[in-house]
Amino acid sequence: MKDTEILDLYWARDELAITETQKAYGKYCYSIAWNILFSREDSDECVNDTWLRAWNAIPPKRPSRLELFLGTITRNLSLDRWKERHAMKRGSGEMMLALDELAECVPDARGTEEMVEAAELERLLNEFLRTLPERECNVFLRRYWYVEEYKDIARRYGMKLNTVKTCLFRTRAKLRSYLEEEGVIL
Amino acid sequence: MSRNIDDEMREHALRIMEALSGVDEELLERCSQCGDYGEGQEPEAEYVEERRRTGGRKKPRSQSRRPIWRSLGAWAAALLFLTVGIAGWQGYQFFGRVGSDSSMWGNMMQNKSAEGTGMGSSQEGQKSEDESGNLKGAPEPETAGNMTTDGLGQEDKMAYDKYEGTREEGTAQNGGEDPRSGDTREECRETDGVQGPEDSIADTEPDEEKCFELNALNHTEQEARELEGLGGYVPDALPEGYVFDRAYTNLDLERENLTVCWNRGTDYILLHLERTEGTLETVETEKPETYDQRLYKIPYGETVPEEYRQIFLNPLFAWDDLDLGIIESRMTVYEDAGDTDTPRGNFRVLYPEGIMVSFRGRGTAEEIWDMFCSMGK
Repeated sequence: MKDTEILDLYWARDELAITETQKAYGKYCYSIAWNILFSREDSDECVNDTWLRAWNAIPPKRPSRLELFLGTITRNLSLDRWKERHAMKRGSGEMMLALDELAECVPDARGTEEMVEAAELERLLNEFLRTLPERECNVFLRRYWYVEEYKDIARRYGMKLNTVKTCLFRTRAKLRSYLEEEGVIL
Repeated sequence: MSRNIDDEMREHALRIMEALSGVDEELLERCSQCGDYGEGQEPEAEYVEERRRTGGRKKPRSQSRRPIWRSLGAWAAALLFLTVGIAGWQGYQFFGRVGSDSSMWGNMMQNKSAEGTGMGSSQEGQKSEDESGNLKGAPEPETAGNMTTDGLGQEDKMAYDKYEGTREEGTAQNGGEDPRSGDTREECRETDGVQGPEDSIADTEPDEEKCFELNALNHTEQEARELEGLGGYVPDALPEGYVFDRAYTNLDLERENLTVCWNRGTDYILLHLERTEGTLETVETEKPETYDQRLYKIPYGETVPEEYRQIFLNPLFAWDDLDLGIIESRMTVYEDAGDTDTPRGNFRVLYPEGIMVSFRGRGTAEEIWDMFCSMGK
């Protein structure tokens, strides 16, 4: 079933919408949740919560890309769940590795700048990503949005593992410089 | 102290991670579109450049010549394998001479191998090949005159049965998993552009059933029509040009159900049939304000009074109340850019036998009315 048809079902408050969404995007959302949470039960719950959120949000929303809309909900729910579960304690899975890598991007707090608002940080990240070459941007998002492993990214883009690592290392360094130039305090 | 610093840094990193949720859809879409495994993947740019410069003659960097001392490990491993192989082969020959059982075993395996490659299924053939792989060059079978019609000697067959029995026992002890069965987990892991969970840690392995595959039983159109009960509600008359797309029963629903879909280019008709229990409230047809789409403008969320909105979005009509006029009130042409001008609509119909038909799709009111008239016979 096409996205528009699924959305029509949501708008008609037809519960078949959930079934069809699950059929079309169940695996996709589960993978996002799994990469972050590394737990079957938590991933299940996040995906189920995603359907509920989607049900409550559509209508009034009519997302242009249902896949990304659902993926973003799953990602947010999974990050919240991850925070609850780990409370910043070291855990297993790709998420902790990705976080440790991203910590390299945190700029030094030198001045008396105010802590940047979440919305502003989003805007800056978007701006930064648009300055990157397409491939570099894609690799960055695959790693830090989808929390995919290096080897999977390498396979996806036909790159060598070391090239992926180098590419991400350089992008992180660029992001750090960019955030410092913008005077961002996290 | 360093632990605290680490934690603090991780908290900051988590802020970046969370902020990434707000990345423009356009960027995410671009990231999903290109580079799906095996499709549209571009070779590494440096490699392409190197090939261009050398006219394709030079090997890629990873295959270029390496000093021999950097390959010592590989040479040592190869030597070790060779030694083990020779020792294994000599051991096999020794046992082949002293034990008649061993000879029979060798024959059996060879015969089984022949059966697998010539007569058996591909799976069996693969298995035999794997199992007899280290028997290549073994003595010629001596039981050619003793062959049964299926290619196995009688003794060999008994020995093979015994061997299979042992295998099955072993399998049962291993939790009943058949090592020959395909690993469906791989299928669950790879999704529309997202790599699935890692399966290296047993206790947190994702369960393929948990991968949100819809638990559905698919039917052909004919099978759907022949289903007892609901099959009679699959319409005989469809608007011209529609072709069957799919039909399935959702096994997770407790109630008897059937979903059938037809397509006509970008138009579609989706019917969900379900046996209901108890009394359901149907629309009072003398109150068109609760269901007539012609009375309101889009967006309905702003124009339809709140007290009617729930009914209006997906009204349920009793079959006895349904007529062409009601269907006309629910089939509307929307002026969407790039869309066809076929009217589209949705509503539900409750048949006296307690069967509820949810309709969603496109067609003229007359066509849809004819379709409903051909149902429930």
